[in-house]
Amino acid sequence: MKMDRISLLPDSILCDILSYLPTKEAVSTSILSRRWRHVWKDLQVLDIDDIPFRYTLEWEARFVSYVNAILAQRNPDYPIEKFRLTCKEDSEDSLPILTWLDAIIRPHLQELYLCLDLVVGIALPEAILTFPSLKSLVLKHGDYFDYYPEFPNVYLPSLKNLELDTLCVDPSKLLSGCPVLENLMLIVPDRVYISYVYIPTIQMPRTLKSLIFEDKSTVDNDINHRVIDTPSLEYLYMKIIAKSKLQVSFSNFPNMVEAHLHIHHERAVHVPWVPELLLALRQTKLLALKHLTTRCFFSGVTLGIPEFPRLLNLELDVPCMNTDFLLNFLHNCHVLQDLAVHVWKSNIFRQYYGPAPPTMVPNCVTSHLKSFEFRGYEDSADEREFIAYLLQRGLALKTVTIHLTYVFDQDTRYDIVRELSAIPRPRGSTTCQLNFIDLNPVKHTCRSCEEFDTYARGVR
Amino acid sequence: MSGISDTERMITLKTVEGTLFDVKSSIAKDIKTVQAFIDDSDDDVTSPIPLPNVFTRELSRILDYLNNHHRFRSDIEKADEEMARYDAEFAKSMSHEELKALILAANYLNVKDLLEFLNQTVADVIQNKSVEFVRNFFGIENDYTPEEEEKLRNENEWAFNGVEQD
Repeated sequence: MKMDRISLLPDSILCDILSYLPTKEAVSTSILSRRWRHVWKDLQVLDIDDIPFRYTLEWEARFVSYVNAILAQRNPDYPIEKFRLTCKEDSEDSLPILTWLDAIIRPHLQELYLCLDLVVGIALPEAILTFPSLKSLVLKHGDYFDYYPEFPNVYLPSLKNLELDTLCVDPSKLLSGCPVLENLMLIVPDRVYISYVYIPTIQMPRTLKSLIFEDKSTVDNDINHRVIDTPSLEYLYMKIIAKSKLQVSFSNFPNMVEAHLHIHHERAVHVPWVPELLLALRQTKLLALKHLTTRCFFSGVTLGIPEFPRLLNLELDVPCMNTDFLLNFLHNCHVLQDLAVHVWKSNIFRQYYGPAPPTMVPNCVTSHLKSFEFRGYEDSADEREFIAYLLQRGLALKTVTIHLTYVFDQDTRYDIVRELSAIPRPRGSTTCQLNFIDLNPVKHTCRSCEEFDTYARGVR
Repeated sequence: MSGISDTERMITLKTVEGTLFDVKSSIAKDIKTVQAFIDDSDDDVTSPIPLPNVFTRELSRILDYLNNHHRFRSDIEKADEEMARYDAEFAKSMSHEELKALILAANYLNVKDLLEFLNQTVADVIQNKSVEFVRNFFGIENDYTPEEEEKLRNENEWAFNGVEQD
């Protein structure tokens, strides 16, 4: 019989294993044997969550004594390096959060994650903002900076990751104190949210590689400036309302890999920075233009579509079905492999002002396009024609997926599926699979169910 | 292939069973125990370095892991994706006994990244498992008397609540 070699492992390894578990589970290993009784006490990673306590009798009191017991029994010779705390307060001051933070916040701290749903919010202890070893700071569910009379000095020379999902103060001082920041998530809520502060300028740190930025705070009357001068950026997710006085400026993004834009236009104003942003993103491999981002091409101004020489994956939301626009776009994506089109039915923006596309078939369609997905299919002549166009010319196509809108009755759906399935395919692409996703699944009462099933390969 | 020049120096490692492994010096750098040995001998290592605590099966796994990670890192394009896939396969390919033996070897050789990955793997295995499962996994003999165990559970009632189920 094999000797159990893990029992030879030092406590430090056992403790390291426990550091990957929620603290509650790590602590419970003290029941395993005498040796394990104290292993958890050397933990330098605490991950405390009140969820296992909630919905039981007097859970708040039990949760407080649980956290107090951990802090009292753990070995103080091993300073905490990572601390995560997730909890919700039912009544004011029922959780001694600041006392706990005072106990764990020491300059060795590398990662701090707080997700606190409190009756009255707390201010983040100022000392944290000058910790030299802090690498990651995540503050969720509240603005932890809103309670300072004046924003304290910030210098976080090691901070790589910063996530703030409810920012209600001007972050300038904070961001300029993070010289090596790589990942930033910044969500500025709507001004109807608790306390609103006008933030004239947000300047993203130049060192960023990844940016998630949502800003609902911009207003019509005042100028708002958002500066994304970050030439190393590889990932961008941006959700913003394009007000008339909002100015967005940016660098080029030669290393861009993945870009998601949700740009909401409140009125039919022309926003010149949107096409400029698309140009700056032209090296990206994945591009998602969601919601009304493409509206700029339908708002009365003739705009060229930039070339995307490396683009592999494109998600395009369009305000109306327009074959010219889609073909012009495809002509500029030479190596595109995956295309998803979602047609919004906008009543205002129905007119495309761009030029007619070249008559030849886009290069990506003949040699690269592998998958095509169409959402919001309403069976208009334009839509049918576009799908037929791709099916007939897409020699590399493997799958085409069409999401039928719910407006059709069963007979119509049957006809749509039959008609699209009957489109002749080119000889080279017999392996292409045509799928239909029906938002209003068929009840099996239609007159020729069997025939329907034969045609509706892949209907779900 | 990996961009490392062919003329790179090779280091020979010898396991408990006497099996010899030739290792590129750039890989040996990640094996801190070996690197310390090299540093101590002023870079003058011509004969095989003996590893009296490491068995052939474990060393070949560790070298496989390090070689693959070096290769992934040299190809920035899809490094993360491929590395994640490789790591998942690597973890799955081992029995619990083999996993524990590998932790012991990685700990002795001081291969930090691998050790972290293996510890995380063990944590995933034991998470949400019963006390009996965890005792069994680690081969722990319960040396508490029933009274002691009962007392401990009562004292730490806050910790044990709700973790029992498998």
